[in-house]
This record gives sequence, structure tokens and C-alpha cells, in this order.
Amino acid sequence: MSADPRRAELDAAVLAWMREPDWREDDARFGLLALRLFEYQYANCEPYRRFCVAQDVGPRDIERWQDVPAVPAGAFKELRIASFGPARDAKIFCTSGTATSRRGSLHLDTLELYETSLLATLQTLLFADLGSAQRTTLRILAPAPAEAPDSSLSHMFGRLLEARGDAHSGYDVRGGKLDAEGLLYALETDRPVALLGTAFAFVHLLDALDARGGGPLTLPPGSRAMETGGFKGLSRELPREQLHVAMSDALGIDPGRIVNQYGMTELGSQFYDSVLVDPAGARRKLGPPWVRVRRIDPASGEEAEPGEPGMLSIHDLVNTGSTCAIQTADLGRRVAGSPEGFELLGRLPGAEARGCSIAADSMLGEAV
Amino acid sequence: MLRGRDEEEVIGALGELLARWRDPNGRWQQRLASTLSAAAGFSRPNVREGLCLALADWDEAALRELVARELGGRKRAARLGHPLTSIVCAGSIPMPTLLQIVLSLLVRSPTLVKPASRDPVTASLLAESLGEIDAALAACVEVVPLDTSDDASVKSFLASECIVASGSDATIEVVRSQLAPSQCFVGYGHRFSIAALGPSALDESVAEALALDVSLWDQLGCMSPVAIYAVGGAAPRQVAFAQALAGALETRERVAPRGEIDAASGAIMRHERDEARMRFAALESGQLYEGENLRWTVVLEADARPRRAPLHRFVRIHPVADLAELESVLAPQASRLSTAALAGVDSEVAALAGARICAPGEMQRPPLGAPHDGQPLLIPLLSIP
Repeated sequence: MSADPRRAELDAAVLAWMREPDWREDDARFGLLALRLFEYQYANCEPYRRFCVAQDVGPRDIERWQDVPAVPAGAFKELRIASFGPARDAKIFCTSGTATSRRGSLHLDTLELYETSLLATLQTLLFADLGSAQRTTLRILAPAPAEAPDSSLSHMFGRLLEARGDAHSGYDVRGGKLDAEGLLYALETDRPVALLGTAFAFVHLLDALDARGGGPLTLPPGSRAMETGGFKGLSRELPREQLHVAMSDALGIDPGRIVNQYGMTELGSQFYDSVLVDPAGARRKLGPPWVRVRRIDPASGEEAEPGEPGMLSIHDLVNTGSTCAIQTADLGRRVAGSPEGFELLGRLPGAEARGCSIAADSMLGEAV
Repeated sequence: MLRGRDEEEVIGALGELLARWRDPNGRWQQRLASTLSAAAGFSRPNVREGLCLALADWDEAALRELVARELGGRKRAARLGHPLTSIVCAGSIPMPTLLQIVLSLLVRSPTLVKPASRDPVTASLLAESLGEIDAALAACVEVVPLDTSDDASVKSFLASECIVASGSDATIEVVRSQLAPSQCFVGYGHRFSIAALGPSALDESVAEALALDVSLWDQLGCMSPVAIYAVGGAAPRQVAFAQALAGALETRERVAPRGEIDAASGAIMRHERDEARMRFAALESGQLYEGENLRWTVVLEADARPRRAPLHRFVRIHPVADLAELESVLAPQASRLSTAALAGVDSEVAALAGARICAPGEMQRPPLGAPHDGQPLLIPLLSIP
């Protein structure tokens, strides 16, 4: 927990929620914590306070968490958004980027909330059929934390492997490359396996399987896969649905056991496809109850109409040390279900190049 | 047989074609404005104004001047294009499509055209209008609404001796990778444009001129400025200029409204606005000027760092101390620079060497014969280079 007693109290309240065995949506609890955290962050995170002042919004002006000003995710590239000083940095996670681009960073003075949230969420949304202490074989298609110390994804996998991996678990990306041969050897097993990694690592695995010949694998029943991230800058990209079909065909995993994770470095919590917890319902993204998602109409800046796409504005109580309310540029649509979730739309078809100047968008975007 | 036709005769027919298209009250501009605004989402007044301005000087004399400049001194056989040229069009702005077909016919090469998905109308209208002037010449233009998932059709389309392709860098590479070394390939990829203004040019008239450059074609063309560099000049002047530009864009919105945008483009615009708001509040520098409902945006930045260009009438003003700083900012992207509008500054900036230089307000009005991305127009299309 934070060394600041006032925040430690808030951290403890959020941690208590995370440690409850059964998830319960609790609007009043969420709203209360969100407003108390806003008050704390307003007082202790100077760039955020100034942002709020510019919008004429302070803790005394609002009564609903929905009115807490959301920081655009891109601001993490430009500013230190933290409610503590650099001397108390315990960990800094950075967004991915190219050699020329600026990288966003999330500063953490404690990893306790981050790790508690990720393990609780994975247990409920990815490993619900396993006991909470049960270990299983985890093959990680991403670099180990030691190889990518500023990657939140590697840290997440590292923590998961430590907490839930068995003796056959390990990393299959080394030196930036997928060790397909080693992974395929590890997959010659009759134990269920969980394959977890980046989408492009899975593409490399599919290519390796294709090049090897000998037909598809049939992983043992109970196996599952979780992929995350995009394909930017890579030689081959696949729409997510096609990737899942290809993964299912090549690995012998039922499509209903292949899950996409949506997360971002700036957020402490992650979202997972619902298929493992609600196989009969529509595939949708679900997160823990200490996170809320709003969809904002880009044109008006107001809440989008039900069914309409909107920018995802995420309120994550795990972010006690930075800002809880974060505005992404990602588009999503509400999907009904119990519980309700959202569909990540990414770039809509209409966002394709409409003129040659789209070049400036991508080019200057890379340079940011 | 097009290759056997007299060059003078072809120039005459194409000159007449341009004359008909140039008429703002003529049938062809009107039909294109109507169909293109429906297909591409531009407002009709914006298309009308864009066509009117861009085509104003495209005439037979300009064609003759281009031919004389690039082909003068060549013998007849060396002035001919390939037996067949395929043109892959891109984007939603009609001028590149119009020009590329005219150029191909000018070197008397029968032409296949794949229209852009966002502009399925320009090529067909041009062929139709040419048919009224010279049916034999029009018969040499075949518009092929190609399904890119149909490999056999794509292969057949790309079997021509000469391929001209516009589009994203990725598209250009995909097309190039499918061609044999013996085929001629002309590719026009990503480009962007800027304006650079000295202190004396930070006034209302320049703001109005640049508002025109930004708003025509909703800033989607590679000749649309995405960034304006204020070279020197005091901060209050830059603020006044930003305000003037914002006012001029609001006026433009009333005259020729911005067209439709999709949710993804809107999300990028709003995110960039919010990010600027956060940055400016935290750093206590910079100004944001916003039209309602994302209709236009002017961001007066505190520095010259390149930032995302959301387009759709979203323009940034960057202060730079002097031409040396301008050079250092533009140099990494110099090869991608299409057009630079300059006022009150010297054009002797190395990074601008490959760009078309013009005055503010003239960015969307390139002369017919202006080099395309630094290349001559006709020479790359010839069968004997």
C-alpha cells in the first residue's frame, strides 16, 4: 500500500473489495470510492488538478463518479501523472513504441493493488473452472519480466506464472523471438495448457506450425488461450476473428476457450472476453466490479446512445496513485448480457484512408 | 488505334475536355459535386469550391506547356506511353484521378482505371464526358470497378505494361510486389503539407487564405496543411493569428461545411483536443480553439514537436524560433513533404527543396503541370524513358 496514510486508507478499501471471493456490482460503493479518490488525486496530482481547474471541476462541484474529469490516455506520454513524487517510484511501466516515438509511462509507488487486481480478474474471467490455488501449465508467448522490465504485460504474466504456474510453465519468447521449437516441444503433453501472449506472437506460432508441416496440434481438453495487443509494425496482420479461427484450427482449442484481453499500460485493470464465464451469451468484454466503462459520443462529448459506438472512458479504482478516470481513443459498443459488457470496435471501416493526407496522420502519429 | 493518333488531335480533344470540366456552371462539375458529396461524405459546396479552384487553370495551353516541357525534342516514337496503362486510384479527392487519366491519354496509352472505393464516380464521369467530344478516345478508357479480393481480376488488371498507383505506402508496396521487373511502375504514396509564416504574415488575410487551404476537401488531400509554423514573431501575435484562423474556419464552416466523419475519426479528434487541453493546463502554455461538434480545431502549440494530425479541419500552429529550427523540424520528413505555403519567410530551407512552394490560399490549386511528388508527370509514363 502507499506510504501516504491518507491514500493507504483508500488503497485498503479497494484491496478489500478485490479480496472478496465473490464479485458484486455495488454502485454505491464504487461511487463513494471514486469520489474519495478524485478528491485525493485532485489534491495530490498537480497536472491533474490543473486540468480539472481548467474545466472548472473540483471535488466540491460533483456528486457522481461519472462527472470526474477523465485524463486522455495520450497525456501519459507527455506528463508525469502521479500523486506522489519521483523518489517514491517503485515501478514504471511504459507503453510500447518505436525508436522515434514517445512512450507513455505509468508510475507506481506500490504494486499491491495492481497485482491483486490482475490475479483476481484472471481467476474470475480466465481460470474460473480451476480452484483459486490450483496451479496449471502456463506457456507465455511474451518476454519474461527480466527481459522487458518496463512492460506491464510481461509483469502481469510474470506475476501470474509465479502465483499459478506449475513446473512445466515458462516463457517462449527470448531475445525478442518466439522459440517455436521449444514451445512445440512443451506442448507435447497430456496436461491442459494455458497459452498466453501477444497476438503477433500467436501469428508467429501459427506460421511456425505451418512451416513445420505435420498438421495441426490437438491440445489436451481443458486447454485455453489468451491473446492481447495489436499488430502494429508487423509484416502480417489478421483480424481478431480470423486469428481466433486460425488458432483454434492450428492448436485444437475450442474457439470458446480462446480469449482476447483488452488492457492498456495506463490502466491497472484489464478486460477479458466473456466466453469462459458465459459461453452461451454474446462475446463481450468484462472487467472486475472496481472498474466502470462509459462510452462517449465523440461529436458531443456526452454519453453515447445505447447501441451506438463511443469512445471508451474507463474509471479504474486500481489507479489510486495516478488518475482513476482515463479517456481512451478506442471505440466500443455496449453488449447486453449478465453482466453487461462491451465490444471493442477499434478503428471502424470508415476510418480507412480517405485521402493521401492520411499519411500525415500515421507518420506524425508515429513521431509523437 | 490510340498510339497511331496524332498528338495534336489528342491534345485538342483533352483541351476541350478540360474546358467543359472547368465551367463551374457546366454539367460535369455539377454532376461530380452531386455524386461525389454523396459517395465521399463531403458537403456539396466544399466539392464545388474545390473543383472550381483546382480546375481554374487546367486548360489546353497548360497541356501544351507540359508536353513541350517534358517531351519537347523527343521524336514521335519516344513520346508514346505503353501499349496499356492501369491506374489504381485512391482517396476521395477527384483531381488526381482526372489528371492521371488525362496524362495517360496524352501519351496515347489506352487506360484501365480502378476507381477508389471512396470515389467511384470521377473516372466514369470523365470517360462519359470524353465520349461526347471524341468517342474513339473515350473508348480507350475502361473503368474497372475491381474487386480486390478477386485474385484473377487483380492479376489481369496488373498485367498492363505500365501501372500507376496512388494510396497508402502499404498499398503502393502491395501493388509493386505483384509486378514483374519488366513492368513500369509509378507509385504515389504518403505525403503531407505545411505552411510557414514569418511575423509579418501573421495577419487576418493569411489566416483566411489558410482556412481555405485547410477546409477544402476537409483537409484530406496531401496538399492540405496539417501544421502551420510561425517562424519568429511575438507570442501575442501568434495568439492573435490563431484566433483569426479559428474565426476564418468558423466562417468557412458556414460557407462550405465540413462533411461527415465516422466515429473513429471523431474519436481521434476529440482525444487530441482533450490531450491538448490537459497538456496546456499542466504546462500553462498553449491554446485550444474549437468549433462545435468537432467542426474545426485550431491548436496553438507551445513547441514544434510533431504531433498527430487527425485531419477533417484540425490544424496545429507551432512556434519556431527561426528558419534553422524549421529546418530541423522538417528535415526528418522532408521526402514526404508535398506542398509548403510560405509567407514572410525565405524559401531557402533545404527541407523544402522537394516541395511545391506556393502562397497561402493556393495550396489546393496546383498548376496542371506541377511535378507530382517531385517527379515529372509524363516522362515516367513513356515506353521509352
